[in-house]
Amino acid sequence: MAVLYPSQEWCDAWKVAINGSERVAETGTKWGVGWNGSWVFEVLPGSGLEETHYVYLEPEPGTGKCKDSRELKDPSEVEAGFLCTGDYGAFKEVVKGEKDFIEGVVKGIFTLKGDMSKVMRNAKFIRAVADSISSFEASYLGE
Amino acid sequence: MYGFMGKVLRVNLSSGTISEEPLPEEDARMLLGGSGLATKYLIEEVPPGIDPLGPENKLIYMTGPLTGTTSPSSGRFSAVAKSPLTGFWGEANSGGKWGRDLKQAGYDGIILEGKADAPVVLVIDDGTARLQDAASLWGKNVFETTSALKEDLGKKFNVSCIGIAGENLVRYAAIMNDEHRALGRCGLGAVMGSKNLKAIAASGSQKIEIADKEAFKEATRAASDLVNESLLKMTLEVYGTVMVIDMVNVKGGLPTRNWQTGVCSYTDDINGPAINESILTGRRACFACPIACGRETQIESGPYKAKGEGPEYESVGVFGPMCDVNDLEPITHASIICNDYGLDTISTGSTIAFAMECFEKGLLTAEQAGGIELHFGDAAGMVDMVHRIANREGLGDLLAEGTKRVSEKLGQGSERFAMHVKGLELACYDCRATKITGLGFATANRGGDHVTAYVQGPTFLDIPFLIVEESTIEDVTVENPAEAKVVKDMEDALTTFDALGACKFMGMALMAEEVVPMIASATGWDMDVAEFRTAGERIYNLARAFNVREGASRADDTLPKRLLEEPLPEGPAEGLVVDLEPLLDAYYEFRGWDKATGKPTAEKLKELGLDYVVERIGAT
Ligand code: SF4
Repeated sequence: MAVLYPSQEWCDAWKVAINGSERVAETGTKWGVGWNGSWVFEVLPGSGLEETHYVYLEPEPGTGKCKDSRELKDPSEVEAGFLCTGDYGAFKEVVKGEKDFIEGVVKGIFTLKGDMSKVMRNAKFIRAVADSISSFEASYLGE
Repeated sequence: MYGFMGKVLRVNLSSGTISEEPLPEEDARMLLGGSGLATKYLIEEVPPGIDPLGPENKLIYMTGPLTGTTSPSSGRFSAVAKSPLTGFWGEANSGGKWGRDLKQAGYDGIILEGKADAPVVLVIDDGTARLQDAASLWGKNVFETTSALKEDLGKKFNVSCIGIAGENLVRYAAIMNDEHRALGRCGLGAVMGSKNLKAIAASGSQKIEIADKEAFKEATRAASDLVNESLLKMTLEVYGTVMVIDMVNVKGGLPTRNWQTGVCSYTDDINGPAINESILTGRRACFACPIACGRETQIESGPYKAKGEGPEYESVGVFGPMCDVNDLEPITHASIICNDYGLDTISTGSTIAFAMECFEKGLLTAEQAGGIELHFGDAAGMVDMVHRIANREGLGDLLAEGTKRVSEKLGQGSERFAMHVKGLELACYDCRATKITGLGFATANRGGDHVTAYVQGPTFLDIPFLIVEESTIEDVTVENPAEAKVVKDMEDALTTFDALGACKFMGMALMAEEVVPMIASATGWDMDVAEFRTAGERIYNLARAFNVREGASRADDTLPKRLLEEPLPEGPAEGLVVDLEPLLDAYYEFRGWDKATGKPTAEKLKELGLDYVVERIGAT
């Protein structure tokens, strides 16, 4: 059954998808070891989304497994290592599997803040996590 | 000598004599090789004040200790000479496979001096070298010259040559190798042409001896793994260097219409995905490169029919937004014919864009230009002008002199928007949008160059260079003098890649701690990171010393007036200009150079073991 994006149900489903992905497990062995590898995704309004949503993702250091995935009311609730910002429309395309997340970063559609050297060195893990987003069915707020 | 072949070839083109000399290992360790070592020959052997296109100039090719080895992206080599475009240190670096082939032919480098009476080719065949007549090749372009030489000498020979632009002494002519790889910047192709040297063909099967094979294997495997895992590979391999065009545009710093604005409305038509979907036929890697950022492209029919390699980002930038051409076909065609003529695409496209603005402002007229007019967006006129520049026909003869000389000739305030530093046309990053990038352009030893410091990595692209300890720029829209240290550190660190014979892109993915073991195990030197960093600083100061000797001072470390005084009119960087002076003050301080003159101090030169240049530049 399709889960609504963005929502807590969607975050739960994403956690299951990440933890079921062999690619994530294979590529995540260095992520977050000795540093903060958690993310906040800032989903900006537009395309039917009325207010900014924040999705928190906390991978377990060195395993790639997802420890926590949830909606935040305010990003200050957590201390994340990375912040990724983009329009709802653009995030939706990634969730639908229509846009490659890395291509979105390269084209400046998503902006990343955090220690980019970690992103530079763990690109395969990031791609695997990003690809897991579109591996389950979703429906969309505002559609 | 490990990591090196231990020999340099000296070719006196005036007398036709060829000799071999040992590569001085002590100098190699101090300057690593490549452009570092070549610069020592240049400063010691080329007298001050000479005409760069005269026989007293020397063209020095040099590989590094990693060139031709199994370390990642190690097909690279450098050439230096006094630049006919800038009058200062002329340096260019190229990839492909030619550097490996020179080394396997038995030589680390070649010193070319004098001038041949008639066109010649230098043939280096597995430890022997000879000059042969090139009358039949003179007047031919790069692709034809390359295939003619391969037919004549055998396919195993690889060719570094000039096209018609170099023969015609276009001041920004390039030397091409592997057909599409360029010693692009600073007009070294004109230096080669001035010597009546058409080409160097190299082939060989000699082994590069490695000091500690096991340690080298381990160090190169670790480095290759890191590169293979990296975002660098993931993006460059798929989209090529053009991947950056959107990131630069998003920040409002994509030079458009000769830097009149930093916002371009049609990047979707000319970016990496657009190339992939329309004209890409394959990907091409330099020797031992796991990335393969090179593009093989083809336009099958129509007026812009062409087949070759490219365009990479800078070529798209100058023939696209700079000339306001929104169509990949003429952009690609212009880029490929530049490769065939042996022209630096950045200087060519920039000079054409400058001429377009001069026409639009009425500073150049059709009457003056033999009936031709150039306007922004005129794709056919742009392509036609590339032909005219290479052949020095009509207006092309004037534009072949480069933006600085054209603006000096035209006057009437055109100097304000003549987009060069020290005579070298700027690469496509508007530093009004990311201020510290301007410091990199202003201080680069070879002029308005982007790969000397590559500070657009952390500014425009939000990508750090791991080769330096710190490359974070907090707010790119603000001049922060403390961040001048990032420029200094990146200049020093990236200089080492041109000396080692490796690609600067590796500096994004590898830390010094991962590069040094490759050098140490290849050469047998017990090098540590501190020695590696000092070598970079030493090379940088040596090149600066050459410039100072040729008259460079703080006044030359500047930017075009447009960037200093004319605010960007729109976009995220609207209203911004560069306040350069505070950044320069801080930069000189970090460098240990005299703030008033921009000259390295005697103390700094001695600290770096460059005592031999103290007197040459009157350092105090
Ligand atoms: S990254 Fe590109 S330019 Fe550098 S060595 Fe590889 S293919 Fe050549």
